[in-house]
Amino acid sequence: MGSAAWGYARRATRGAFLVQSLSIARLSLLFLLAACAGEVSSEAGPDSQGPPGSDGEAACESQRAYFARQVWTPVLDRICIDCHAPDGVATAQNAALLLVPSAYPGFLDANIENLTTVAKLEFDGTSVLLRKPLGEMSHGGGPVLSKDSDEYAALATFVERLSDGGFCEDEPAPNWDDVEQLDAHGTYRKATLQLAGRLPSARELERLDERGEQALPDLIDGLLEEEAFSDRLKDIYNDRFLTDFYLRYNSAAVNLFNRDDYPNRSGDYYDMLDADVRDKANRALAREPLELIAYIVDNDRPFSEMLTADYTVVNPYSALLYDVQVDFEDPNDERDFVPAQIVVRRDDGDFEIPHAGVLTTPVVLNRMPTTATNRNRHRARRILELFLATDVLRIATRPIDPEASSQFNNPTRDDPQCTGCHRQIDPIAGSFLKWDERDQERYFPEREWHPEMFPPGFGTEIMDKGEYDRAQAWLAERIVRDPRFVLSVVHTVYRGITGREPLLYPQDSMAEDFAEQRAAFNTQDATFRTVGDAFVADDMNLKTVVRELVLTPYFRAHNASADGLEPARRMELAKLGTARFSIPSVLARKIRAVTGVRWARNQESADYLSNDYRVLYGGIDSDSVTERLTVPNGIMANLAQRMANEVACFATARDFALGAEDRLLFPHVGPADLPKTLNGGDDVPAAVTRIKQNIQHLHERVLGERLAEGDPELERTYQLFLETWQEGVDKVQRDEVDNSLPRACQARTDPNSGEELGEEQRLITDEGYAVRAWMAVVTYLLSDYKFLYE
Amino acid sequence: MDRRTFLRATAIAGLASTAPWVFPRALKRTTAQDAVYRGPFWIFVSAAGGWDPRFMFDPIEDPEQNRMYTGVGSTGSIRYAPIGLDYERLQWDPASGVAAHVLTAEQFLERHGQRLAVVNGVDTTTNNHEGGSRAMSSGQLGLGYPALGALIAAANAPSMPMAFFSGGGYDFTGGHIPLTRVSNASAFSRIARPNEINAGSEDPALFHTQETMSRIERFQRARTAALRDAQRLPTIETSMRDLLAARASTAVLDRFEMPEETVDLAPGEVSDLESFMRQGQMLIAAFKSGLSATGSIRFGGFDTHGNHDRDQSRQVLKLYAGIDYLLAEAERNGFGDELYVVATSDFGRGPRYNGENGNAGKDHWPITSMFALGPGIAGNRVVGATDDRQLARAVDPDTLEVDDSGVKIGPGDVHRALRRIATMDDHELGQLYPLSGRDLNLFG
Repeated sequence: MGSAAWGYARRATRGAFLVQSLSIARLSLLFLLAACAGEVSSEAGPDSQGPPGSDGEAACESQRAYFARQVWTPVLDRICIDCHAPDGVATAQNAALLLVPSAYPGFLDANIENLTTVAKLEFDGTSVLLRKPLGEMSHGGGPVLSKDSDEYAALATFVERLSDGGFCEDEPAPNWDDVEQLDAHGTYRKATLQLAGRLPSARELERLDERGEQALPDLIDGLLEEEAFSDRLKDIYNDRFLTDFYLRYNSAAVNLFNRDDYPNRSGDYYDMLDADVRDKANRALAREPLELIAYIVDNDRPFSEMLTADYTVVNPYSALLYDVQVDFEDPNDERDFVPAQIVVRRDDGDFEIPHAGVLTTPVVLNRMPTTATNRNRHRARRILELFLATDVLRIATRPIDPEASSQFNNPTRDDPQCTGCHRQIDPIAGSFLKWDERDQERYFPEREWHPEMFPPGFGTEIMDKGEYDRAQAWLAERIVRDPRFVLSVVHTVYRGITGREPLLYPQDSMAEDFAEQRAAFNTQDATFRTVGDAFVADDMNLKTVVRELVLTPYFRAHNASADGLEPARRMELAKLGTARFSIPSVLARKIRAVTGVRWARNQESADYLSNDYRVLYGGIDSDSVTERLTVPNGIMANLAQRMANEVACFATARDFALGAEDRLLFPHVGPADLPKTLNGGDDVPAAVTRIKQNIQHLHERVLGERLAEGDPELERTYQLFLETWQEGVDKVQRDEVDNSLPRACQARTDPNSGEELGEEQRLITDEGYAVRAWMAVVTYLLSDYKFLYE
Repeated sequence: MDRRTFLRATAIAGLASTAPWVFPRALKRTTAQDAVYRGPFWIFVSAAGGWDPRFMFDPIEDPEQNRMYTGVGSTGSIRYAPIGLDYERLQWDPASGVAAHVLTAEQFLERHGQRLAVVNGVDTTTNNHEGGSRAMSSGQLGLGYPALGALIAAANAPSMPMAFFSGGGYDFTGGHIPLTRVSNASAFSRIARPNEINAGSEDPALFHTQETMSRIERFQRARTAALRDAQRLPTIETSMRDLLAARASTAVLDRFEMPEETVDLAPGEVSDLESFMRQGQMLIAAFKSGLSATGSIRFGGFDTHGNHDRDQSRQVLKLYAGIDYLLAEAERNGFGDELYVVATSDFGRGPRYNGENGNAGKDHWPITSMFALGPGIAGNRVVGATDDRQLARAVDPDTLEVDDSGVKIGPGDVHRALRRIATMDDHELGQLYPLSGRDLNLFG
């Protein structure tokens, strides 16, 4: 096998999970290139100068890169797709060339695959791909290219490269030379805070000191074993499912359950339970799909089980409601979720719910509700969006002509304006045929599908009626085999850890920055495909996706090189680097991790950022507010300031009240360490050294900055301390302020437990004004960009 | 790259910042120095789900399209669906107190008909919720155009901390201005005065002396500016500017005047209307305080694929009451003459029922209506029409009379007209997002 042919085979293998989709998406296997009308000028045609670099380098451009640059944008997307799209005229006539638009995930690979198939077909020794556009072989659209056009030349080169193998196997690795990335310490700190809600331990820091970058993958893997990561993962998936909607009051999820099918939710049983038990039961049911995901990930099971699991998970409290008998290690442990099969008992016989991962959980069914006339189409759209990375509404945004539509009795089945979407949506909707359209979580084994709609199925595959009793499982098996499932998982984790939407392929090829946008998309797409490959290779272990994404520049980039960026490169890197205003739950955990105290009204209350201020700080309520704010407004800025003031107030005196070895914030100084003498104003060099040492410690602990002695930022913070201290001392001397700390800031109780401190542990006065000066420093650091942003 | 292309490109790329560097000072109508925005104010009400114009101001006596009422009402030039407070058909408990809270079309028009402009026969060209909502809120079906409320706020009050105050609906800002969510009113005093330990009480205790707090803020600014100056990656550089801009806008927050009492309706049947009014109450308070220019309210329940007659009628009566509340509150607070209210929905419903029984619904339909009130809008006026199949009729572009050889009204036309009222048509921000359609004199 020649190197080029081998290279293509390797490429096809590496991207195997992506190109499978074609058979799923393909609407026809019949050979017909049809109906593309109109000759097109060569303006804005393929690049005449070839790829960057020398001619020799040009010959080594990968087939995928060549296709994207020379074939897709200037030829197929401009000239052919109107007719050869899934809802195009040519497709309706069963043309072999089926092009999926750029809104379709993995569209490049799907289109390369299809074009390659067509290009390899020959008639009279010439590729059909080179004959049809000239109007030969009964091309339905007639001649659309002239033989001497750049577009035709691009197609000819594509065909030639297939036979000659004149391309490289791999695409060049993205160039990140002009991007500064977080070092191993910085990356790990960011990952621990975001994924585990804590700071790196001393032992972990040692390993990073010893092994640097090499230590990172294992350390990250360790993080992903922690319970806190499990909680974070549930938050990430709740952003997609929005099932925490059922936490809004303590029976919200329970009330969904039909009393006949689940008699234990009735007043005779559920209402008799203690409020605490009812609360836990509701939480278990509300979070059932998220707990299933956590169970799969915690146990390193293939993440495809999110959809294919033939079980659900219950804890001791939801087991009561479902009335299932399973064993728990601790019957009072709310976190102990185990697999279970739900059985519904009816007068006409018992039956098992045909579980299909999250798809058949009652809260998901209710959160994606349907009606008698919607017929599960909303559910189908959400399935495409959540598990196949496909926004079907973006694929078909073309205007509807209501007059034309009114000519059809069954427009969703017959009107070409509608079938483009409904051909994809309705078969998926059909898989829910046995779920009730009013009482969303009720299952009726005897139900049949609506004959006037497209039959249950997936893509072009029609579900055998014998599979109707396990329709969701049948669908799930196909979804997880679809390469878009892998992409959807990568996208969800990417959104979760960066707060950014994945880039879309640029739609406006005439835009001035089209090339930069395309380059940015291609780079990110290549990264995602690499991460997806690793995920598939690791038996679909979700932790692999998290680890691999954390190691990319999309998580680690924190500056550009000192030379700066050219304008075009700035556009290309426009979405690089997280720079994410921390979401409320992550910031709440960070506050506690860094300062040792929670920001909450009292010990019994939830964190302010999880409750009172969650929505105002840009979070979601999984109800009417479902998108997070990414740019702070004035309210959020003030909230951050209040947080910094309050936490500095709670934490500063409390930390000083601990022994030096137990202090998180002030291990190097005490309240008696003053920069100058109180009576004479003379410098106290030893104290100043300790103060500066502690400032250095605070910059690292609070902001993750490892600054060398004498760094201007350390000096700036010292000046803040010094000026505040001097102001306070002067005001004390003038009796404008007294020697006591504000009462709310005194160390009288443990801020986390609420327990009274012993007399000797209390810190109430501030004779030398150092505590209040340190409060100012802590406020300053807690309200800093590097604390508020990730 | 010219300036317009640059601004558009940066906005699309998410680089447009709320910070002053994006827009020259000349564009600002309110700055941190004058620090009070005194109108005009805009509230965009989004009737989410797709309302039925046949149940509102495009009525018809045709049992195929309307099983709810007989006859057609009219007040002045405006025809309306005469849906009354029929407890039995609406399945409302007469003892629930609903009558005190909802409003019929007749009542609504009696109060506001002389100011109300209705546009019927608007062809959204879509049946999907997101697309329709986007089109009716921005004027463009495709992605990427900011809601008109965001553009007006960015142009008129860019330095206000709550310039665009959203209670939901399509509220994409294009990165031109930060979005503020309407939320719990009681939280505001603590947020507005972050250095007061017990904000909102008589206790004057502070976390830091005023001098210290000012110092902290000064050091914050200096450090953030230093970080920004050393930053060369556009995403991070922009985020630093955003933080500086957000902080710069907070000085006026303590001027926020809390509503004296929160709206409290009878529980149960009208809880969604109560939520609507509470959001409106916060918007009005923000306007009155000079902190906001525009706001949006999402009012759901219109996606009546089932039980159309009952549910659509209920929501319409509540919608009228909610808008009446906004107008009355603005009047009571002294800026009734400065408030615009624009009501739209994703699309329409119809033209037929999807079943024969009383639980039948109506499905999505691209032809819809919208209405607006406000200073300079010619009231007692209906433009556009539909035929007996609920298809949009074309209008003469000059006279706006129905004319089959004329043009059909689309979201682009509606928004071009709204932009003219908001003086956004020749504004640089408006020009960044050119609209399709024509300059029709839809609002007089």
